[in-house]
Amino acid sequence: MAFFVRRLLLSLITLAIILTMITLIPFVAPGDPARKIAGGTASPERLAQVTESLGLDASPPVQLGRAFKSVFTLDFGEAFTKPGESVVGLVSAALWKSGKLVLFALAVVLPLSILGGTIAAYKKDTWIDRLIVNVGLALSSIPEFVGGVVLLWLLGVKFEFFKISANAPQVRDGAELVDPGIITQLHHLLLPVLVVLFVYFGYIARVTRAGVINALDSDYARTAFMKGLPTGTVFRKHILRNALQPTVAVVATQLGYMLGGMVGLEIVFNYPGLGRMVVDAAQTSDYPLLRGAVVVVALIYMVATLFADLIIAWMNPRARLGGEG
Amino acid sequence: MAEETTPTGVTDSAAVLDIDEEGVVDGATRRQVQREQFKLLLKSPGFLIGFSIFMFWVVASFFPGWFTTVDPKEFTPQLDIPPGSDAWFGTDKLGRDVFSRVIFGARPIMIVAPLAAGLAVIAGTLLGLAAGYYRGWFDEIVSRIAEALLSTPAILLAILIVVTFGSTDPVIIGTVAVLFTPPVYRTVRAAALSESRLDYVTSAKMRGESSLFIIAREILPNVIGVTVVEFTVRLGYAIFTVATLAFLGIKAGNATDADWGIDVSATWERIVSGSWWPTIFPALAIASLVIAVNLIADSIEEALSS
Repeated sequence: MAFFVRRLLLSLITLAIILTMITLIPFVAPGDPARKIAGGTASPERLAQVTESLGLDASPPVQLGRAFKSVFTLDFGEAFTKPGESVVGLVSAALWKSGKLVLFALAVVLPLSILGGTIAAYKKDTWIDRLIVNVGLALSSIPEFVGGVVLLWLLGVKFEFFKISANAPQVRDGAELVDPGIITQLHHLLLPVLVVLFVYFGYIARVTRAGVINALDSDYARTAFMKGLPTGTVFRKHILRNALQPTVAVVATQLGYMLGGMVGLEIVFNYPGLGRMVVDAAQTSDYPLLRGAVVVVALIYMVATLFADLIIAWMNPRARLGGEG
Repeated sequence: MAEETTPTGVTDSAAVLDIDEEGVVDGATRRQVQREQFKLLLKSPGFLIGFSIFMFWVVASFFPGWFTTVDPKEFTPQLDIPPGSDAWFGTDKLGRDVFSRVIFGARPIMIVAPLAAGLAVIAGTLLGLAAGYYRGWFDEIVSRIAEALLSTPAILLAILIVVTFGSTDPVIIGTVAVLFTPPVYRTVRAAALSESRLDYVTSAKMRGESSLFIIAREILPNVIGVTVVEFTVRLGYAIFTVATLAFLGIKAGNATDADWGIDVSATWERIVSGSWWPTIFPALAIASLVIAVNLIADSIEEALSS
């Protein structure tokens, strides 16, 4: 319990720091954000109006207060470029889209990478181990937009089967437009998921490999093998449970990135996720939207790492007792 | 790509420290160990491949004229011709030579990314050494700020900062340097922390050496391997980030100068209509450079931990 409280406290401090930085950036930046948004020829009245609606007329401490309040009330105001639409509404719509992509991607990437890492560990120092590790490393170092355009060219253009837009077009259901069935949506997401596989296979496989090698080396694994248990049983019951702890931690720390950081990917495949929303907001100087999105991504990261710590504590009682937080 | 937070990073630096522990205080032994590690590195195929590709791009960014005589900015009437004997990599829709643009496109990223990574490593190492040695409130504060910066994808913060401060090269270098300081800091701090607990530091303290001397002459030489690895790893991420910013249209650059990321962003939508070469060649150039840097980083890490 003390472990959990300490962990939670640290997360809150982290959130406070990131929020402070985001709020104060306009004050240290050259130029007036209100002027950027209103345009160079805006009248003084219009400028004042923009300044006020941005909340920039207040002093830094007051703004900071508002920023903190906005996190607890989950109210980041209205988007600047889309009057009348709340930042929270826009962010959650984009988050829902990104979430679908990430869930599908994880469902494909996790089993494959864990399998790859386990095979590499079991066949340690053979050619198959080197192949998995090195190809994985090479693929995961490539920026998403590069992998995206290459796959778009190799698969998307040549094979009709792959859809070049990740966003499945809406279909008519009576009077209104609705999202098509889940299969159609997944079909459209296939290419971007392949890119995510490129990005994460090597990374997750590597972490899993290290964990499995460690576990294979342990006394309990040796005992289990010597008891004459079949290899599959030893892996399922003894090895993976311990070996996957670092994998869980890594996936959790990457969740924020997966949801909000794969900007290039969302642009190449024309997908209205969080990442693309941030770029659009940045290019149109929509500060409220930009801040809301960044804060949400930071929040997700914190909740995810918190959960990862809890899962690891549950998997391994030793971490719970002696963990340093 | 996947951004840090590697549990493996910790064990790796611990492995590095093992070697150093054997070479404690004794500079000659340490140098010998380093020489052995260097020999091992030169024998590693990954390092040789990565280093060759990397050096090719270094040379191309200094002397692009050695590889092509065609002006990358010159418009010709040969619009959109596919790769062939006239133009190895074809021409784009404005008739510019794609091969020449790929060669000339190396320079902008080869200036911005190493500078950003270098600054991040210097800042991260200084802060990490200080925090790991002194600990206390300084360590607490810097560590909390580093953690906050690590909790949000670097690319999002980069977009936020670059858009606010204007997308010029100095701003991009500064932004990437600031965002990459925390991971370097964390690694160096962990290494410095475990070094500070060793006997040689205690004995230096008892000899009455100043803290500055201990940090610079005793601890730093023992964590230098860690910083070398960090520099190569950060360089890979810096290339990744700068190229992505260019692709997103957030990096400054006039439309005529060759720049891999900007070129991909200007042409990729025409892949669908069959014109793939103006996009795929600069994209492969980016891929080859990041893969090369990662191969180098990986081989150095392996050599240091062997």
